Amino acid sequence: MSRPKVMTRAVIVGHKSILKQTIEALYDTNLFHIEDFVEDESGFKIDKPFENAEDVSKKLVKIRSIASYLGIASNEPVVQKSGTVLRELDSKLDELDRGISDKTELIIQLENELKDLDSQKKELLPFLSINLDFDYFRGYESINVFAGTIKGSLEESQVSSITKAFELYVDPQSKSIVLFVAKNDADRVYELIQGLGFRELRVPERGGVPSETLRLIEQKEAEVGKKIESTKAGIDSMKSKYADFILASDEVLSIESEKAELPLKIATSANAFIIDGWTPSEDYDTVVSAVNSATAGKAYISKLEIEEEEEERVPVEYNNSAVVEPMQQIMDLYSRPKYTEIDPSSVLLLTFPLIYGMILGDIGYAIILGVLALAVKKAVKSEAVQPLMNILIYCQISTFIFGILYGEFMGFSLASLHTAHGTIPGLIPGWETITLFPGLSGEHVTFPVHRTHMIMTMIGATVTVGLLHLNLGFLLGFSNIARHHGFMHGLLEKGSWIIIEIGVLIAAVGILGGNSILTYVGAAVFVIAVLMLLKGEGIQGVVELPSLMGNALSYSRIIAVGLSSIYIASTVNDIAFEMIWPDHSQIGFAAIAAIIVFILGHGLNTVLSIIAPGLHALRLQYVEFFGKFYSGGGIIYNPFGYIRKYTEE
Amino acid sequence: MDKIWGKKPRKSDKKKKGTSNYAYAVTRVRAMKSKLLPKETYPRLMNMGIDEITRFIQESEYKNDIDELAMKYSGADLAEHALNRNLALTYAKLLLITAGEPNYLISEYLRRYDIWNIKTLLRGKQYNASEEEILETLISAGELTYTTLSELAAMESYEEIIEALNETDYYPLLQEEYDGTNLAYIENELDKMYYSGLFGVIGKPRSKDRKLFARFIKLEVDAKNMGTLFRLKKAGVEQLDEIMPLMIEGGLELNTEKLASLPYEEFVEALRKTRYWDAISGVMVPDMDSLTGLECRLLKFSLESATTYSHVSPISIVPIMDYIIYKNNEVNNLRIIFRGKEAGLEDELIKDQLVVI
Amino acid sequence: MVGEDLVVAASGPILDAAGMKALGAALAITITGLASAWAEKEIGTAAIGAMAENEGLFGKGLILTVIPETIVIFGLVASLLINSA
Repeated sequence: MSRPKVMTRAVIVGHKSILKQTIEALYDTNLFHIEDFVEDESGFKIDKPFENAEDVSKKLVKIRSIASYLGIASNEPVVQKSGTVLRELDSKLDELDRGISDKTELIIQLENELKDLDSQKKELLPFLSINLDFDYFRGYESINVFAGTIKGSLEESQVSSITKAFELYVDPQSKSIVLFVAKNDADRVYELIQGLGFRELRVPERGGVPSETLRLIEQKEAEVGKKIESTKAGIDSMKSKYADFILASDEVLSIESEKAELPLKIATSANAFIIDGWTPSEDYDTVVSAVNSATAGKAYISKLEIEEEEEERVPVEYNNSAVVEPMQQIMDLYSRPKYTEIDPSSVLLLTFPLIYGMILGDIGYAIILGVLALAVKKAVKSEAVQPLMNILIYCQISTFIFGILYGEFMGFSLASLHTAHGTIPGLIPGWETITLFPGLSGEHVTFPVHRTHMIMTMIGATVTVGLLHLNLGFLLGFSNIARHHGFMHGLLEKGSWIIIEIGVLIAAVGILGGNSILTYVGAAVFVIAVLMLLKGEGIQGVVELPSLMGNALSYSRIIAVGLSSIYIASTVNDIAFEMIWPDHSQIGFAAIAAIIVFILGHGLNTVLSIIAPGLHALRLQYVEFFGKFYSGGGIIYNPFGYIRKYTEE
Repeated sequence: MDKIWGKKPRKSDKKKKGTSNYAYAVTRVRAMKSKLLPKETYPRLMNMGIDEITRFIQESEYKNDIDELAMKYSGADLAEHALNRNLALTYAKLLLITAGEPNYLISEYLRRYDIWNIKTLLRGKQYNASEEEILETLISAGELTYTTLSELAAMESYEEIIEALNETDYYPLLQEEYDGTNLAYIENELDKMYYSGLFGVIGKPRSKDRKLFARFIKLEVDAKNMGTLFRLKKAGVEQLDEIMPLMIEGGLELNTEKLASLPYEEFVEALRKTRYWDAISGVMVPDMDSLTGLECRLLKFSLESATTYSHVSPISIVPIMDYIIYKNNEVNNLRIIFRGKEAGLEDELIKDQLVVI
Repeated sequence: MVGEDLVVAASGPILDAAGMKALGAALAITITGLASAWAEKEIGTAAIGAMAENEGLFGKGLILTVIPETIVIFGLVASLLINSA
């Protein structure tokens, strides 16, 4: 149970002539969270950025645009000297820009050419099977040429009834016709074909036989296509050639622009500047000495007391050991703790895997998922994936332990179980289930725990776990409130809930044991605690009383979701080994089919085994547990500075 | 690029109502609204140069637009094109994530951009603007796609443009009435056509959605009429038959006929009784030298009332409309800053034109 | 006609006590299941809408989405209680 890092509020004041050095120093320490200045009545104004900001921005816009065009993603960093990058930047950027725009222009040009060729081809196709040189279509004085398509069919006889002086070419497939008629009869022939739905086709301007021309066009198309391919390949090779340069210069320029734009976030007057912000108290001295040495002691740095109403604005940095650190992901997924709150990451380290394990509780799945998580952890070095894999590993340790407790392996029971209907053999011969003591509604608690045979007891157990979890939440809430508003407030708002439960417990023992005095005592405790709650949280608190029962019962999902996982697994096993391959001595097709079903079924269940227990365990933390004490909404500590990946000083 | 620009969601069926997925659309739109630039950003933008602001918005919701266009344009041109593209694509996205009634209402509302674009094209041709200058002002958020619009912009004369629009609803008006000089009249007629079309679509509002939508539009009409009335009164136009043709019908509260007949002082006095007075009283000085102040106040009023409505009716068309006008306002603000900086205007002058909430 | 056949065929009571119990248990889980499904559908679409714009809302979206699940858990508990009673 840790608290966020203790922060110190510091104000740096100085003459504008040392602003640049101050900014450099702060940036290098990467330890100072700057509070953005909002212009107010004080007369201070935000300043203009440094002169280089405009130029840096211009290049950044270009580089980022090129990066997104080339599809450059962050990769294994190749570290370069930032000085070198800056020196080469202009010429290289120019080269890159020109290279790309040349190539893209070429591609556009080629693509237009391709479109052009395509439309030429389309013009050509209707004439293809007629295959007359297009030069024959024009240049006559006494002959009209009708080239086009018709809807119906046109027979020679239809034309010959009008005139003898004609020549007709028909392509029955594309319904295109070319008809040469003497000019004198043209009008009447035109009427005829008009009746057949004649639509004129444009005759390509270039001469040549269609089939020959088509061959040429297709040849040209292939050439242009190849050229496009090679230009695209050229762009790709630029991508690999310049990727490191782009990433490095983006980084260098981003740093420059962040520094150059700091004046936009701080208060300045005609001659002075004020930088207001936060630093972890442990690092305060580092910040002071860095600024002092950079400005030769000309900047004034002072600590300010954090006043109570300011506590909401303090940026929050976690303060956890490396083991607990992965759990911060789960916290951030919900919301960063407030500065004044307990950071429950270390509690989650226990409760989250515990509940996950209670739900899944299977040695087989624990091993599969554990190995999987280790493998992914080794293969993917991403900062986003690592903590998740660590959490998954924590969960599998807990799953393994519960797996032994439940005696389950991939849905098989490891120990044999004696029931009223006979003995159910286990996977490990000789491991007998031991009956320990009676459970709820006639069930018996055994080792290993057969969850499917003691559902009511397990519901009772999980709800008890829930009550413990909820009370832990009340205790944390008590601690939060007591720290800031005093013990009494904590007791009234959070402690009263625990006392209410104690009252109910005493009364229940009284009723069950037939001891009426105990019952009355319990009732009295209950009433007093409710009155305390009324004082602490008002009528709202009392109205929420029944929700305590709802919250506790909600933990019965631990057994419910667990059962669904078992049933899926054992159903897969039954299908594979009882239905498909009942005769285990015979090895053949059935055996292979059984193994395939087994692998697919358990593959599916393995995926479900991350999602279902994970989500439910998460929900129990977020909704039920956090609801009792956690508010979140802290400001994330984001120091002014940068962790370089692609460059170094 | 054509692929994104050319695809416009089809006008959906008027009667299709059951499929409106409000829960999804409204929360998504709210999340989109939360990503609009907060008001604290504007003073900082005012202190930056054009390229810096471009970089700044490239780090926000305008990333794709700047990325895409930075290879082709630079400086204020880049900004201008990116803003227009972003606005168009944002609105296209709204059409993609909605279905049924809201989708239908939004796409009808967005026809205003068709009107805007037609006006721009005609104006551009009348004043012999270059193709590039026209392109910079087109916003393809309506039914006319960017490809179509750029083809229109490339045409030589307004006659060709009008001919190319022969399949649109605006063709008869343009073809019969526009003679190349009466642009102001045509613009007004187009506006009137837009609003009467929109009110026609709403019909007699029965559903809560349409009622709210209608209210929204009526408010806008009032603001528009009020602006026109001020302009005319200041110019000394008193003739009722000169004023009334310029009024758009269907406002919420303003009785245009009555207001039009009043002299300036009485007209201002009459406005005192309307809901708009609180919003505009600050700029109601006797010698109002420009209408910018008034227009900003009215815009601010409509933005604020949109937000109020969307709290009253959280799962309806209203939060979506609210977002539409806020987004438009953001793009407008940025455009004003970019243009102001390019023209070397003083900061105070630029600031006065911004509507920041 | 068909109806008469059925009546004749079902000479005993259609549901005996055990059957009623099973039916009750089934109803308890079915109805609560439908109820939480319906509620989660509404919240889920909204949550996905928000998440599509802002991935940071995943945690909050998840919590809001699974809140109605308690309904079906109660149904399950009720049906188990009916069965074991």
